[in-house]
Amino acid sequence: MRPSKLRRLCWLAGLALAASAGMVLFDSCSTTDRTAIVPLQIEGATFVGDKACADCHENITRAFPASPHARLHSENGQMAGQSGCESCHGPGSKHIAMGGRGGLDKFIINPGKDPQACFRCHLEVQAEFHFPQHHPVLEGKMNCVQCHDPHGLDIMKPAGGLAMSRLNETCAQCHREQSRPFIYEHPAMREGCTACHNPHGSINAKLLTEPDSNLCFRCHAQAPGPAASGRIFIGGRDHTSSVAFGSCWTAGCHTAVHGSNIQPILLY
Amino acid sequence: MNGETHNETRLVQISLCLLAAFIGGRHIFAAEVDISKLPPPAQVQIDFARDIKPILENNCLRCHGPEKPKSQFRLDNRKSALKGGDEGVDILPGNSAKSPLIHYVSYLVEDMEMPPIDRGKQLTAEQVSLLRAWIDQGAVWDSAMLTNSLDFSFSPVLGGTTVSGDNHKFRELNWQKEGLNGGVEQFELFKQTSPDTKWLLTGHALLDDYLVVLSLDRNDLGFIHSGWQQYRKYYDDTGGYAPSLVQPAPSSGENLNLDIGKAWVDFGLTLPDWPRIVLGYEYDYKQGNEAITAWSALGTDRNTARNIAPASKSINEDVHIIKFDLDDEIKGVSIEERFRGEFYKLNTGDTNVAFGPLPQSVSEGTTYFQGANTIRLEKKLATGSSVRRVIFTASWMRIHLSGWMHRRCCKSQPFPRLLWKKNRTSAMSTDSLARSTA
Repeated sequence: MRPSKLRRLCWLAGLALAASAGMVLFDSCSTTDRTAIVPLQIEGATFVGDKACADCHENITRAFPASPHARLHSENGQMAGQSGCESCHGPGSKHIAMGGRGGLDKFIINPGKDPQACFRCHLEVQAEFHFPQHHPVLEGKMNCVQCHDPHGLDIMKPAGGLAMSRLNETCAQCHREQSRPFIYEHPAMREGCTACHNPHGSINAKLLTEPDSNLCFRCHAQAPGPAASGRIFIGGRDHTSSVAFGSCWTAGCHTAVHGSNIQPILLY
Repeated sequence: MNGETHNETRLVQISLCLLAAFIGGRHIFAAEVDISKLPPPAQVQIDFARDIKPILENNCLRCHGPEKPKSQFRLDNRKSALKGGDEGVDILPGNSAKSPLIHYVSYLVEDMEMPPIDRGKQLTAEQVSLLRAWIDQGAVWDSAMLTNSLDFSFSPVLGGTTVSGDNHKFRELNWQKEGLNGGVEQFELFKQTSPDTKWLLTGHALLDDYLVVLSLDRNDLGFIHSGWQQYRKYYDDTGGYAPSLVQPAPSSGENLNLDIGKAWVDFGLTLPDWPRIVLGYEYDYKQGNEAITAWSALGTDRNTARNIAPASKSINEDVHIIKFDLDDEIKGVSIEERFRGEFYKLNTGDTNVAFGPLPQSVSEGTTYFQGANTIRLEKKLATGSSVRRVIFTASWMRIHLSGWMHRRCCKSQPFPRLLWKKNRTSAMSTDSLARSTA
C-alpha cells in the first residue's frame, strides 16, 4: 500500500472514530432530560409488590400512603405495582422466602444502614455530603433515617413531609445545646435551623450558608445613617465602628447566636 | 305418639349434628373433602432439604414464619408445624390424605386455599405429591436447614494516611486522624439457640469510632436490645487561617475534639394477645472541646484588641432519656402510646468570646426535665374500594428547666452569678383527621 493511501485511510478511520465518539457523547447528553434511576437489585430476588410487604409490616404500610415517598412511581421499573416499598428496599422475594427467620443476611436493603439507596434519587444530597464541612453520613457514623422519617408515621416525629416541617426537632435530637429554651431567644430559630445552616454540607464552618455578616444581613439589614452622615445603622443602632471588628458574632459582640439568658441582643 | 317420637329423634339428630359441627367443625368440613382429587404421593425417598424446604420457603413461610404467623400456624420448625394453629392440627404424620394441609394446598377447601389465591400461585401437582410423600414418610425435618444456628462475619481493616499541611484541618474535614488507622470495620455474630430465640452481636471498632449492638429476641415473649456508640469529631485549631499564607498562623495549640456517644437498652414484651410493651433507657453524651466561630481577641487593650484569634469551647453534656411504648389493637382500633422523659445537664466554658474588657471567661450551665406523651387511636373504615382511616391523637408536654451563667472578667473582677428558672407546660392538644387511600 502506498504511503499516501495509508495516510488517507488513517485519516478516514480517525474521523469515523471521532464521529462515533461524538455521537455517543452528544446523544447521551441530549436524549436524557432527567435522572436515570436504576431499580435496586438483590441477587436472585424479584419484585413482589407492596401487598406482600403489608403482610408483616402493616405498622409501616398503613400510614405510608400519606408519605411523599408513597407517590414514587416508576413506569419502567418492572416492579410489581410499579412503586412503593421495593423502590427503596429492593426486590423482596428472597426476603419473604426467609419468612422472618434469623440470619445475618435478610435479603433486603436497609437504607437506614446504607445511604446509597437514598442517593439513587437524592443525588444532590450525596453531592452536598462531599462538601468540606458535612455531617458524617458518608463516613458511616450517621445515616439518613436519623433525621428523616421516610415512611412518615413515627408519632414522635409527626408526619409532616419527610421532616421538612419539624427541622428544629430533628436537629434537637443531637444539638440540644443550641435548641434548648433561652430567656432571650433568637427569632431566627423559629425559622428553623436551616435558616442559617445547610445540614448536609457546606464550604463554611459550622455548616453555615454564609461565612460572615451577610448571614445576619439577610434579616438585619444595613441601613444608611441620617442624611449623608456616612454612618451604618443596623437594628436602629449605629454600627459604623462595630463592623470594623469583624462579623456580627465572631467579633465578640452578638456571640450568643442561638439565644442568650442574660442579654436581649445576644451579647452573651 | 309415633309422630312425636319421630320428631324427638329428628331433633336429637339435628342437635348432635350441630354439636358436632360446633366442636369439630373443621373436621366435618375435612370429611367432605374429595380426597380422590388429590395427586398421589410421590414414589421417592424424600430429602427434606432437597424436596420440601424450597416449597415451604417459596410458598408458605411468607405468612407462616416465626414473625407474626397467620392463624398462629408456623412452618419453620417441626414442633410448631405438627402442633398446628388456630385451625387445629394441619399435619398428620403418616396420613397425608387426611392432613388438612394437603387439602388446603390442593385447593379442595373453599376459602382455605393455600397459598391464598390473591397471594401466590397454586402448588403444582408434583409439589403436592412431594408434600404427601413427605407427610406419609413421617414429616421428617432437618432443623439445621431452616434455623441458621450460627453465623459469623468479621472484616478487619488496616490503613494509613499521611498529610502534608494542616493535620488538624485534615482531621476536621475527613472525620479521622492522620497516621495509622484500622480496626474491625464490621463484625456480626448471629446465633439461633432455638427456632424462637435469636442472639445478635454486631458493630465496628475503629480508631475513635466504636459501635456495639447486642440484641436478644424470643418470639412470643420479648426482646432486649442494647448498644453503645461513640465517635469523635475533630476540629481545626487555627480558626480557618491557612498556615501557608499567614505566618505565623494563629493557633490555640490544642487538640480539639468532641466525643459524641450514646448507650441504650430496650426491654420489650411481645406476648401473644397482649399489648406490645417496650421500656427503654438511653444515655447521650458529648464531652470535649470544640472550635467555635466566635473568635477570641489578640491583645488585652479594649481599644486595640481584635477578635481574630481561634477560639474553643469546652462542653460537657449529659442526657438521660427514659421511654415507654405501648401498642395494641382493640376491636379494630389500633392504639399507640408513647412517653419520653428527658433529663438534661449541660456545662460549657469559653474564653475571651464575650463582649467586654479582656481577658475574660464565660461558663454556662443548664439542666432541664422534659416529659412528653402522645396517644394515637386509629380506626380503619372500608367503604367500597377505598379505605378511610380515622385518627385521633392527644398529647401533653411539660418542661422544667433552670440554668446558670458565670462570667469572669480580668480574673479579679467577677461578674454577678446569674440564676434563672423557667417553667412551661404546653396545653393539651387534640385533633382528628380522616384521609382516604385508593
